[in-house]
Amino acid sequence: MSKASPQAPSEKSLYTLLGTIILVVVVSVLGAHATYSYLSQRDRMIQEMTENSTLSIATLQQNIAPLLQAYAVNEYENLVATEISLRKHFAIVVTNNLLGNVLGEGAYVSGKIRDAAGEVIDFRKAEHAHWLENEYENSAPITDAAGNRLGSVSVFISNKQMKEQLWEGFIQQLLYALAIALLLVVPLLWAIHRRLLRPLAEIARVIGEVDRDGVPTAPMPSYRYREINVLTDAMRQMVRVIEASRDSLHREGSRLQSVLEGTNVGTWEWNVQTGETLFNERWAGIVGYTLAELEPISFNTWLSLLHPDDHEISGKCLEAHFSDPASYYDCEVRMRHKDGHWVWVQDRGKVAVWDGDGKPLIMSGTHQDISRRKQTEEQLQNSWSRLQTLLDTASDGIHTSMKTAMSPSSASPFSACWGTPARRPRNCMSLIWFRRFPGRNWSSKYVRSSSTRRSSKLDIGARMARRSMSRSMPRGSCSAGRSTSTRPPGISLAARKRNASCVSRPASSPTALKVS
Amino acid sequence: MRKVISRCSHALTGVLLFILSLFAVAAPPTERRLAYVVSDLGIPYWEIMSRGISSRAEKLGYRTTVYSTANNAKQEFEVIAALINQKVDGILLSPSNSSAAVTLLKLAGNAGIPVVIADIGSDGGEYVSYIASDNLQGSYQIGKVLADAMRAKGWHDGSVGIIAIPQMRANGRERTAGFMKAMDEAGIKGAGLHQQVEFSYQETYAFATQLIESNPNLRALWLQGSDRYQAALDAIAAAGRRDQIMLVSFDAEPEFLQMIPEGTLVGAAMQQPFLIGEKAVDALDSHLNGRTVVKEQTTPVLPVSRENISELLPAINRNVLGLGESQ
Repeated sequence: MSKASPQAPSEKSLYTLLGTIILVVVVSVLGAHATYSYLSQRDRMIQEMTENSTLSIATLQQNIAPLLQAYAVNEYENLVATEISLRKHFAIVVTNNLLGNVLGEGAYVSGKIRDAAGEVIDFRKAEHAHWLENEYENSAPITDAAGNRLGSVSVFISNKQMKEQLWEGFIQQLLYALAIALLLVVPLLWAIHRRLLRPLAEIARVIGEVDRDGVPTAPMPSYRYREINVLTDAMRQMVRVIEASRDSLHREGSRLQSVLEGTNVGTWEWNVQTGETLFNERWAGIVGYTLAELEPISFNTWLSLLHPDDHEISGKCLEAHFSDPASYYDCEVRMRHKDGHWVWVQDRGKVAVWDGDGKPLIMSGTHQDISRRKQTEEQLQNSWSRLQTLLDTASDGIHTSMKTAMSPSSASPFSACWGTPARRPRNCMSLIWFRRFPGRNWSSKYVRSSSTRRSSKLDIGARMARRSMSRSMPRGSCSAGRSTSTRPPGISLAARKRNASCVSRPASSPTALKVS
Repeated sequence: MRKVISRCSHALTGVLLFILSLFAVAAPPTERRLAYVVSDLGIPYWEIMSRGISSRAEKLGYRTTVYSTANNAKQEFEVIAALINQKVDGILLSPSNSSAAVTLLKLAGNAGIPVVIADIGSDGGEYVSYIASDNLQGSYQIGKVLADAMRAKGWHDGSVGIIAIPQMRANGRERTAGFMKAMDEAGIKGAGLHQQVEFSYQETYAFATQLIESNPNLRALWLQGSDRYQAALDAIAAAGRRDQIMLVSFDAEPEFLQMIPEGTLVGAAMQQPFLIGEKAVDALDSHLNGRTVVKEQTTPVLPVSRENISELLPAINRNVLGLGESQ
């Protein structure tokens, strides 16, 4: 059992993505809300401050008048202090004409004002009058019951104070938005983690626990949620299909391996365009190596082991196959064994994959040791040589033929002896005995067809010299068809070396034979 | 000859101018002037205090002028404005109330005139010193005198009614607090409190009558001011409870020296206005001479009863009634 492949660097965390989405959405919504609230609050604050100043003016107008008349200055200043604190005005200034007259000043001015720290202090005209410049002012006269003017009251609203209050409101809105964002994001992330991501992580963990074939081994858990269970059910089904396919592949692979082992062939796969090549252990074993010893394996590995004289014929075989995709590649070549001797191998294969331009891409096939067959052929050659010698020294003529068909167009020694091959029965095994008669040339005495059980007399009047017959025997030609088991004797070793052969055989006539 | 006379006259003129300039440099300092602004000089307490102020100021070389404002805020402002114009060296103030004092102090302060507050107090503002009676101590001690007297007569389960000066004043609140503390300690119940507004005979009589009629178990009346004691005595007599309700007072009247020994009055917490006036001048003088002055100063209140009146009589005559040096 093993773990799945590690996380690739380009992969992104679903946590990060969902968290980012939630944060962006929440912050955007709350930001818009905070902006709207801020603007609304600003308008409301301006309106409230204006209304507050108007309300203060009305209150002070009503309450200060009797105190002015009673010269209770400290009393109305206490009212002013209360009003400025309650309604958060910047300043309230009372002009007292009655006391002013008593003091000979025209008007006694007093009140309360906020200093830089926001503390309410006594208003002194000489010190603080310039503080009130450019501030919003709301004033009203103070009169007695008869309407006589006793003085006036002025309420001032500070722009700075307004800005500070707006800033304070903005900070409150910001804190509110952050708190709401926190309250939204944390539960959402927790819920997503708890209800979605954790099951997905668990599923990923289960899928990640695989056997050596990469098939999950742990049972897929079930969940309360339909959508996740659809996923897990699909995965269970998928795993079952994969397991069945794997078993089928294992069985198929075993069968193929058995076939390969039974036929004792090596296998190869070649990327024609890159040269990348795969061999099996048997392929290497045919030439006495292990795969490890041949590392690094490529097309050059094969080329390096190929007999120099067979490069050309091998190339021709490949070209023949590449030019005719319907054909097979079949080539007998020699390869150097690890011990130094040459091994006859038969390479068979076919292009399995062609690229988009119609060029071969992947080619695969088998690699079979045919040295024993080649040895048999050599022994047959030797026997044939001995027969040749016998024929050369015998007074009678002898001809043997396999029980097989004969092509009418074949030019055989036999036909040279017998005239037209059209007369020769098909599928016959014949033994022809030639007797030399003194003073006469070759004549036929007796011929019997084993296949037809039909006897006939053949008058061989042809004048054919023995030597010429032996010379006309086929030699050193490419074998035709799948088998070249019947070769005429009398082929020298040099000729056999030239006999590295190939065939580009149409796939539609695999059984066509030529026998000579 | 004329030239000689002219030269001699010029030389004589120059010498005279030089001699006059020397005299001008060596002239004595101008007389320092103090002003005492009091809410109502018709009240003996303030009148005695004014005598104490004048007596001490004269000894210290000040010329003192006393201004009575008749408890009128406008008059107070007019007096202060006039004093500011006169550029007096200092003001001794017994304001009509502690709230009004704030503005008066502000005006004087703006003019750079130092102020010492003699009694009443101020709700704020800057002043040199505040000289006052220890109202809490005096009312507490006179409360104990009354409690002892009630206990002596077996009236400790009776109640006590209070005719108070305005509780807006700090001295009024202190008097009530000290007295009630003594009552609580003695386990004597309160029968109610009425605040004087007009300080008139009729007002005091009416309050006393209401307390007597609404509290059958009333055994004592406490007057936080002495000037209308007769109204209380008359109300008790009118209710037919002359021997059943005792009277105790804060402050003093000359008649008290006889009434207390007779038992008509159980006792009186006597402030020492003459002494307060003297201490106020001393404080202002110290400030004008650059000495450090204690910001808040209290003078003890004498808890005078039948038992201790003979012992306290010299102090009463001088400091309470102002019968000492000036009389």
